[in-house]
Amino acid sequence: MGTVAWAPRRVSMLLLAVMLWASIPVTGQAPPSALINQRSEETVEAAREASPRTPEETFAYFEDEVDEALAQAIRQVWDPTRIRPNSPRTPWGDPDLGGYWLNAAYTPLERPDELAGKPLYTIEEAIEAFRGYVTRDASVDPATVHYDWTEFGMDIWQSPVRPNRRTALIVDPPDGKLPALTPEGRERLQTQARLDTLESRSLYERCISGNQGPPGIPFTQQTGEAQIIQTPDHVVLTMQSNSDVRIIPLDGRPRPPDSIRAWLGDARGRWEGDTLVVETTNFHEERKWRGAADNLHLEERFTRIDEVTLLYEATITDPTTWEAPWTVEFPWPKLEPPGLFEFACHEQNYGIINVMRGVQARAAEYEAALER
Amino acid sequence: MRNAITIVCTVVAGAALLFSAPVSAHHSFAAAYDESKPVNLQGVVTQVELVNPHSWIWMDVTQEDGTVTNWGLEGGPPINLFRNGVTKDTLPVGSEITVFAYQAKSGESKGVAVFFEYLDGRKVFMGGSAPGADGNPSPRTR
Repeated sequence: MGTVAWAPRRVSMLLLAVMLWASIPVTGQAPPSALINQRSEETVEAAREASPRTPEETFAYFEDEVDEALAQAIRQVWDPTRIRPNSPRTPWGDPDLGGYWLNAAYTPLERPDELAGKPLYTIEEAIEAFRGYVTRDASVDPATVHYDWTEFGMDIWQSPVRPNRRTALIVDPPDGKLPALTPEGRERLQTQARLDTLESRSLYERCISGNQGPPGIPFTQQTGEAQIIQTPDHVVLTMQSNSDVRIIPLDGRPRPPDSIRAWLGDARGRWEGDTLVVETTNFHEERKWRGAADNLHLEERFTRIDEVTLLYEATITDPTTWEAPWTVEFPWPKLEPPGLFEFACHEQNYGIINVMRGVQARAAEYEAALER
Repeated sequence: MRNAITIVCTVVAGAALLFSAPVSAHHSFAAAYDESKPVNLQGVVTQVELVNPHSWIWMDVTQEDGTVTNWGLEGGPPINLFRNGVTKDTLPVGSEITVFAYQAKSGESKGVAVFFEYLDGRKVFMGGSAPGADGNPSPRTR
């Protein structure tokens, strides 16, 4: 690989955050968070000046690893049109989903506008798209990231994730876009975005639940490690994030009453051929996953495709939040090396302290600015 | 003009969706840290916490006036470091390193570290078999 033009992926996050903010109709005083993410040209330039490395130097550092990942990628393109479930069996005859899996993808949740009408890449295009992601990920602009993901092994190309012919995770609606929010759903999202209290921070920041779902959809470029353990009458899905555990009974037992609510919902599983179908309801009312209400109905489908691939599908239905149900589909590759780490969020939760002190500092600045 | 702005915004939004970093990363960079306060630190490692969801490296930094400040620097999740070959022995207490970081918004001696490097410029977290994994100098130079 030669030198590349760097693309500041982290700065795009900031732009998106600002745009998301700007897209919310202002009905009252903006909270201090409105001041966040507005990194000026001056601050970016100052940081570039202070940084010991340029984007080109960072990329050069990882050149060998990038070349190796791209060489592997060419041989391992995921082609959803050629799925042939071929599941090994447990000793009692069920499809064997057991093992460690990685819930991550470069594929965007929604199909980009420039790919409208094109649900699938060709194999060659999928490799090219992957090459683009890898190049952008490895050529870090030190002035716009919050850290060098590549250095910490966090880039997706440093995991078993490989190119995908799909141009979006969303396969339904067929345009690959999220259905429109209902007025109620929009209101709920806006209310969430406007609060700046400890209780308004995400469940993840507060160590209440992890960021791997359900549903297990990677909305960000984070990697999510998961383990599946099976018995004849239960499937257990453990996610590293927050050490969340979903215990899924397969025996058709009745659901708890509507008044019983859980952060991860109440799951019931059944086999349909080679596929484990899991329906989850009774979500906690304060969970508000992507703004969803507590009547969220989630149907997930897990199918073992081969030794190293689990196909994951999820259909999200909540008519109080979205105008229509929506479905995602993407492969979870086998996690190598296997294993999850303890998630010691409370024992070592510096995060929420730093976040709240930062919010307080920004709030003070904001009030001072208002007084002037 | 309005159309032009809409197009630009759409392209940027598309790019953002394609290439953006976690918007809800655990530590919420934007809320906790100050992008206008980049800092370069050199110091001696006093403690390494390879704990989920983020590792923290603590180091003593000697100021120009001779006083010593203990800084806490946030880094990557242990499982990703582990996949990269990093172990608990990768960065021994007493190692001398440099860090480029953004300081905490609160003004405390804490930061989110962009780079951890040895004094000769090698990256600290380049993996078990990679140079620097044992804290010793290596022939790998870039």
